[in-house]
Amino acid sequence: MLTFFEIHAIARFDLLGISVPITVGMVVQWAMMALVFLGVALSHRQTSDVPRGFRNFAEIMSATLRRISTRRAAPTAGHRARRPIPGESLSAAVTAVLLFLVAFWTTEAVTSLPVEKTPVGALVDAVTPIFLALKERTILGPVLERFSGQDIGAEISASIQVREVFGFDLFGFHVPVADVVVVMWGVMAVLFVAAFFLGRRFRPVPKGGQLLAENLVNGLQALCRTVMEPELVDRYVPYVGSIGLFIALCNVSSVFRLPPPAKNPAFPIGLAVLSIASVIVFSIREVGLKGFARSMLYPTGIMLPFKIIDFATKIISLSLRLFGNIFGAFVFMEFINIIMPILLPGLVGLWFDLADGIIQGLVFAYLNALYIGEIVENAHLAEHAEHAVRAGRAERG
Amino acid sequence: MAATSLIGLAAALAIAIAAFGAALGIGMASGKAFDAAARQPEIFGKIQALLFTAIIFIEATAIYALVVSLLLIFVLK
Repeated sequence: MLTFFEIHAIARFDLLGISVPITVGMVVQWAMMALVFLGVALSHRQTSDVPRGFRNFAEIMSATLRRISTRRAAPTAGHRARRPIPGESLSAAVTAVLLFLVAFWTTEAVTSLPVEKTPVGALVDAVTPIFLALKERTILGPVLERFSGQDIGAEISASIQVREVFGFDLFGFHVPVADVVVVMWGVMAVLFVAAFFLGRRFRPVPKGGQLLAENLVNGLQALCRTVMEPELVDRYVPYVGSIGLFIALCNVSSVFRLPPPAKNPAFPIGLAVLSIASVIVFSIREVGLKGFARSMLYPTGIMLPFKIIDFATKIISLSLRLFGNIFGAFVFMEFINIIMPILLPGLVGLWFDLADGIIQGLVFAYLNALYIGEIVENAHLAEHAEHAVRAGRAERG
Repeated sequence: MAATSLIGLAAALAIAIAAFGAALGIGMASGKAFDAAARQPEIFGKIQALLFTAIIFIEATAIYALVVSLLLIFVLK
């Protein structure tokens, strides 16, 4: 049996009945995210002309990154004002934190492993007392204590269970409220509050929250414009956008070590059924029942059974895509949290918690828009074809 | 014990084969898309949208296998 690190909870707090542990990995992850945001915020500031010391290093790093990302040479110094370099403070700070953490974790790993008497071992023996002293005198010491004989499988299996937070009786039936449902309520509350505060007092020159809201709406419109006819976009951006934002925020909730609702298959299946129902209702509203029937029979009538099966397949594929991604990411993050809760969750979580969750929300919204646009477009194409046939007949007859 | 090891092998094979196919598919799709974009840069936006859709559907196959392997691990075990 291999030995692994335990999830060391520094603190725990109760959130509506869910016991949320705060681990070292989470703190590191939050710190990294804070650094990213800080770096983005700072990068908008004008910097002085002559970089020196550590800033110099940071600027070289970020200039390299920028050159990679824009595939252009960095602008040469000249009469133009210096453009702010994105992420220069970020790269410096992240490097420092990473170096510190790598140092700390390696000491932890090295000092607790049985090391053979090799040159490396001798080196380790020489350095160990210093690290031990560091460990005893810093606050992280007790947190970093090694734990052995853990059953990882059992722990992950326990963490994927949906727990009942509280329940109430309604007409003699017990209605359980699961933790994932509470998370969904939290996300809905966040969305309502954000919509309320971002949606009022619009000014001609956007600033702050208005800028965020406008960019979000513009992005969603651009997304919908790629798959929908232009006159549909304004009507369906609210639906597509809210479903996307809701799913994205639900998935991102795992950053705060809350259970992401999509790890419970009921969430994606329910959403997929609802969204396919809405797709059908919306397209009937758009092109009428006749148009919908036309789109089902386009290009030929033989397609009808396949188009009907296609709706069931769409439900399965939408729900499995969301469930598989989020559940897989959740299990993987739990595993990472168990084997190495110090450094890795912060780095890996940037993809599995943040990016993947947001992308899945986006994909869900995009597919909704695509399905609506597809049916409407097929209806229009079928109508044009019918008109052409009729016109041809009139000409001949 | 033998059954457990077999299930582990099955889960690993399921995701490995599906990931192989999906990676190949995504690679071919994006390669062709970049070819097209290099030939006709002005329709890059349209190609991008198509590529995005195609990648979503190709990736879905790998996700199905992921779900199957997770089910193998957590349900059969």
